Amino acid sequence: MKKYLFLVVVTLCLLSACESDNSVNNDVSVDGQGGSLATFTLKGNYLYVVDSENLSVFNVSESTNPVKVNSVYIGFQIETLFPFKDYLFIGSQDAMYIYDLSNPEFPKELSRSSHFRSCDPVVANERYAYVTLHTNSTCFGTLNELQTYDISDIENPKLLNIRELTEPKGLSTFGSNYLLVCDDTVKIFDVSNPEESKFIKEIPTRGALDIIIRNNHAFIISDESIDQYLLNIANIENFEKISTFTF
Amino acid sequence: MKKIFLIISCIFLLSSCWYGWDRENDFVYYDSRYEAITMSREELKNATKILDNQPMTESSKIYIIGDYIFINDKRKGFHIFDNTNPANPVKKKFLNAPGATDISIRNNVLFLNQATDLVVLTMDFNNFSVIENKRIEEVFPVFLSPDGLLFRPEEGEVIVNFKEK
Repeated sequence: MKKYLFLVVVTLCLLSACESDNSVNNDVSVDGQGGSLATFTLKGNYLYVVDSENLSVFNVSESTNPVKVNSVYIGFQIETLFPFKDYLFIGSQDAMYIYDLSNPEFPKELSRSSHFRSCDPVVANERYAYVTLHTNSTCFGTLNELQTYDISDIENPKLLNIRELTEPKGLSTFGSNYLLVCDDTVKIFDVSNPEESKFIKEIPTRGALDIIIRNNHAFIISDESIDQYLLNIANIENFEKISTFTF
Repeated sequence: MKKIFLIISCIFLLSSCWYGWDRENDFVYYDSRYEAITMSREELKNATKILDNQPMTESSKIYIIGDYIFINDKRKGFHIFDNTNPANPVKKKFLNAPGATDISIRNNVLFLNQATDLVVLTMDFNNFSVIENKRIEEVFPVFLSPDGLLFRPEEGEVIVNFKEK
């Protein structure tokens, strides 16, 4: 019995080692993870930062000694950036920009999808980009919606649909079938067919600003707290609360 | 005719409410409802350090690395949580970084902005001490006031935040 238990423990340990290995890139270095509202991102030997107008490129091959190697004017009121493969998705108050980083020191604009004025983070996967637009005291405009773009032709994103929400902010994909959006609550959508996306269930965190999903572990930041949930991709309605830390 | 004169003088009088004339710097500015909080470069550098836990003023960005969670307190710094046991995250320290709004971390190297500067810190996660490796000054735009106005800081000063007048 003891032996059996030992074996189980060892197996679990080994498995957990696998899991943590998965989260580490093939790279030797370990990078952290920001949310959809991030303005900083590390990619290879470069740190990309958006400010209100520009995308700055820093060479960080020697990490404690970064060197600014370029700065590209993007547009007005830039707010967020999201890296995916060799692309950077940049959200501004009036557009979603897609930049190509295949030449990492010279980001190149591939496309620009304009929308009405509001605040807008963006996330993307292989085929689709999701943009939330919201308005409040600091973001003028009258839009509160989730937009879905088909980006299979990255130079010509096609707006597939618009869903009216309350005040959507940060968002994250979960696998390729689910999208979690911080609205008045955190809403889970089934986007396996993005043109016909379906609301599944809400996570009851209020005032959520942004969400990070690492493996199946969701971190939700709100005005008041950090909420952590365990998600189950095989049974999406069956999420479990891990903890709430109230500020 | 008198009416037109009245209207013109009204506009003129009203416009004096919105416009200001800064004789020292010799440029016209709109009057803001906010006043800039500035620091000298030396003050900014010295203020960038680890403090004991501080209350949250305005929670903003979230960043996760390994078992640690960094929450940006807008333009003030970062609350650092040890999340080794996710059922019970522990608030450990506050990285005081006036003017900071975002961060990226590679291993134990922290990249953050402080108003116009990019700052690189190395953190020892055993005791949460930091050392400043590099500061690249003036790579980001000067903060605008919440009502969208550009202030010109004094020579050698950095605008790190705003407060209502």
